[in-house]
Amino acid sequence: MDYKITYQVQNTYQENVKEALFEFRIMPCNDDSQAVLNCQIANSLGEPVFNFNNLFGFAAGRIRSTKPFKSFDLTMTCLLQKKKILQPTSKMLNPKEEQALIISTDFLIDHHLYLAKTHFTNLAPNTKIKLLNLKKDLSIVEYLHLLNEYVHTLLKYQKNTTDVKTTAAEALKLKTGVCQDYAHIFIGMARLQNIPVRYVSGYLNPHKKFLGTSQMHAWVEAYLPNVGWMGFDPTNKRVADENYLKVSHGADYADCSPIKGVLKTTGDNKTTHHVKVIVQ
Amino acid sequence: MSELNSLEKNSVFDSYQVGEHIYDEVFGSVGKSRKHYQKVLNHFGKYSVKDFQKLNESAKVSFFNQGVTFAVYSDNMKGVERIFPFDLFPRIIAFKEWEKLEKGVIQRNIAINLFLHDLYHDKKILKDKVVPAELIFSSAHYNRDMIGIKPPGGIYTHIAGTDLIKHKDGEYYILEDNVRCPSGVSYVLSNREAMKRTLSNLFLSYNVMPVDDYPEQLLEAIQSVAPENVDNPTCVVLSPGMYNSAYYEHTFLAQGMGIPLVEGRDLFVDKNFVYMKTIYGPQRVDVIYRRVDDDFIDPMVFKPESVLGIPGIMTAYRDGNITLLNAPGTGVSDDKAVYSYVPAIIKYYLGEEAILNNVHTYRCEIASDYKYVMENMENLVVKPVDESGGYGIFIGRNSTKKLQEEFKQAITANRRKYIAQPIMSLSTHATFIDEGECFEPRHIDLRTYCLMGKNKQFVLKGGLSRVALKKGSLIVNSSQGGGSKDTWVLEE
Amino acid sequence: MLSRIANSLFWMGRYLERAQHTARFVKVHYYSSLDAPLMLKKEFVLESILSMTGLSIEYKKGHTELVDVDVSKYVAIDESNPFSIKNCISNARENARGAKGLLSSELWEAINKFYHYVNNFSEKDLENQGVANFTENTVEYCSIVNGYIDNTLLHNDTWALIHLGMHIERAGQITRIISSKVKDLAKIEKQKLGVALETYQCITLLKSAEAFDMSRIHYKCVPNFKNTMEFLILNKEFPRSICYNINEINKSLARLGFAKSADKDSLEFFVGKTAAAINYLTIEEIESSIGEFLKETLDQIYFIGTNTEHNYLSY
Repeated sequence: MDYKITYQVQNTYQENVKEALFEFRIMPCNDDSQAVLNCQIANSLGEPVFNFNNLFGFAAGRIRSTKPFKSFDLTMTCLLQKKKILQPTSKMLNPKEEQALIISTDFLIDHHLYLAKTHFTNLAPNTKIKLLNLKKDLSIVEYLHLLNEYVHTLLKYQKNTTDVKTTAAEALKLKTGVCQDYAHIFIGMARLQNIPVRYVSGYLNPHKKFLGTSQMHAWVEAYLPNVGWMGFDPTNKRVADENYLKVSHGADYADCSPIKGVLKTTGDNKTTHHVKVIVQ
Repeated sequence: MSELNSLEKNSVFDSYQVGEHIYDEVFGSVGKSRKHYQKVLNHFGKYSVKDFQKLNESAKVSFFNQGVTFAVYSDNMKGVERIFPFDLFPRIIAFKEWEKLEKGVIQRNIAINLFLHDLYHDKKILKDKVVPAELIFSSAHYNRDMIGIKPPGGIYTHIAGTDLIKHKDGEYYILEDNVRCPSGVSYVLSNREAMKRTLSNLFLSYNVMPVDDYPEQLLEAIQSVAPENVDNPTCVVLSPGMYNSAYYEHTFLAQGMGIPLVEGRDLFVDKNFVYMKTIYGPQRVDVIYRRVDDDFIDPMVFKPESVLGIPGIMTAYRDGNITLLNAPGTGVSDDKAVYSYVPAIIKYYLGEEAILNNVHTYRCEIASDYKYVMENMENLVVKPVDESGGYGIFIGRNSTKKLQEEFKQAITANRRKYIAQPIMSLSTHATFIDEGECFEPRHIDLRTYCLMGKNKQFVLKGGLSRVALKKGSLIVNSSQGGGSKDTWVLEE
Repeated sequence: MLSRIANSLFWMGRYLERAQHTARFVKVHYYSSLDAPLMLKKEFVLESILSMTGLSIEYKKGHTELVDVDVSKYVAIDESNPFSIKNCISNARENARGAKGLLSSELWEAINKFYHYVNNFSEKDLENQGVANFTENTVEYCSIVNGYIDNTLLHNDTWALIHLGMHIERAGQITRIISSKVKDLAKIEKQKLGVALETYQCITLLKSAEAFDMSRIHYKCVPNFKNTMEFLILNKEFPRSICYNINEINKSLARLGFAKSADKDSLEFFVGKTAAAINYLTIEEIESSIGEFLKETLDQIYFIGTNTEHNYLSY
């Protein structure tokens, strides 16, 4: 299926911005299940975009300006071809083998980026929640399905109760949040079980009645030993399928924030984002 | 080292008493001095206490005139400028002793560089279980943004400030590997300058190896690691600014090398290259000797509120368009829990035994070590693994029960964060004490300065001998009431 | 050279010059008020000091009366007044400190010593020693520092930047001083107080610019309004005339060569045009509208200052 995705961000500033460097990660990536056919970025400053790959190999862009401005708009339009996600075919290990593998040193070394206790995802080992312990006879994939449904029940989906700085531990206390918070809690819990999990940002098919279609969405990918990465969306209690259009992944939100900037200015600023996904 | 000479009756040394079970650098026992100190003692023997006070004064004036001060800021933000207390009695190290020390320091730093390269690439040492992987990945200074980056020449720790002490057995022990932003080298050069001005005759009577080539050596090291294909690299010193306590040193080094001293706001990144803002437009920068901590170097990647850094510089670094000294992420190797593995690290990469001793280290994370630490607090020094500058240290001897309890709780709450070591008896050295109007033994350590460039290793012949001016104190850091001495390495 | 360092040098020059003019104006007015020919009201002098330093409105926010002790304290050492002599020297020193690597140690030490003198000068000292002593020493220290600037630095871009700052500031200060006197004289005329007072005011004005002796040598007669104005505005050889300083600004900018070409929109073009205009101006052309002329000139100088910083020294 082909999608036309438009991402738009508008920033306004109370005072002149004298110098600015913006960095954004909003372009869908190319992988086994999706291909970017065309992608264009326009900005109100008319500055050239510098493209580079971030630490995780995803395309990011930068815009630098030294001419004073009070507003900054950025628009990305992209034509994306999405295929059905193939279910993994390689043989899963049995639970005993899996659990022996995930506590091995080599496994930690290979996956340490996605096992790290990061600022956003760290949960104290004594966090009082169900499902904290992976049972001996349970396979990892079964555990992850349970966790996906369980995390979904932990929060009530409610906008503006949390923000981009909220951590998993804080959201757990609040019992409300948005996709980013669901993802962080999922990651925090799974990593306590030595299961590598990465944070994923992207867009959703708008025709499905999913939560999070009006903005960029966040879900997770967990690593199944001997098989590979598999996507889960605790916000919608679903497995990520061909309705999920991926932009990038990382250890947590900090690696995937759609836009950030370092600016020389004083006073307040206002930001609005618009996301529009059309099925072609 | 053990050749002792008897000393003539001499008033300023009359009351000098070497502590029990302590190695004194000047005197073996009462009245017997070590051979290489003989000329100093004879020279000082000619002075009265009054003369000494005068000399001391004139040395102080020399520091003020050179402007060697550090600023102490109080509430109203008006800096009071102070000098780092300086003692006139030089610490003297015989050539043979120095030779071994220098070899040991270089060996250690070569191994640490191989270790860092391995950690950020293949991680063989972790896979071989020589160093526990958990220890590395849980270190606050492990920097994942360094993964896969190969700095020019494979050098991470271009400037290392290895701290050593001499124990009661007369042997040197490594206390800390400072491989992030070690400071203090300007004092070494200024101490030497003050010494030459105040005691020129004494200085001339020894063959002291020079220290004033440090800026040249540093520049050579800096230029040697410029990005590939840059012929005439533009190098700069990056300082947090004039309110930083080490600002004097930053200006001193920049001037000594004849390169610009810049602040973060002078630099910017455009299309992955770094430029400085000059009156004639942007100028490309190739190498940055930065005196700004890792966390502040790039607000786009690390602390977003940092105004000391350069947004976007890590991407330029990743692409090899700029060299940073020291490389980010070196702090993982001077983590005090990792310290205990350095002899194993040397063995692993170089197949050699460590030339210099490590102090035995208890890692509170390990159950048996933890138990030992809990039971023997009064005989141990407890240190947080990721701090430097002598902060957060607990010294068991003469500590109160209350303090012991506090530290026990802190350790128990975060065992990875603490290590413990037996209390080492730092050697003492004769030091002029103003109030006592005489020389008294005071504990000292030695910070060495090791430079690594492409095919270059250099250890400054001397270093900073730091003195704990408070009687009996073992803490020599300048921020905590320490002073310093000129350190003379003798030619063979 | 780093733009930030260049900015520091520029402002070091400006602050030193500002402190010097403030100090001299206060000093001269303090002395002259002692032997004023007629019953010149003290408030008149104090008002004049505040108006020259541009601090009248700010001062009146914190004070209800014009008392000489308060005014001298405010202008000389008050830390809440951003343009007090103390704050100017403090800023000059901070700027010098940032650019220390480019200065001679003699210059740095002189600035540092100056700073310590001013910084240690307390309210009590001001009460005991009087403002005259303080301002006299300030003027002298400034001359010493200027001597080191000219005689211990390479006359390269470092020196040119300090000079650029100094001459922009000096041009501005001289214009303000003349302006405030012209206003004083206008008041006098209304009160019809006669020629003696005009002469007296002209002498004070010339002394405020250390121009009295040179003007007498030049004109060989008692100062009057016309020759005083001509000397301070248009003389090409006297270092404290407006014309001289605009020419110096023009030269400094040319020496620095920031602009790759001096097209008609460039600052260099503007400065060159301003300099040419004043070089070929006669006193007769502006005599009758001197107040307006000074106001326009001051605007031009401010424009040059702001744009120098904005175009070439921002970071």
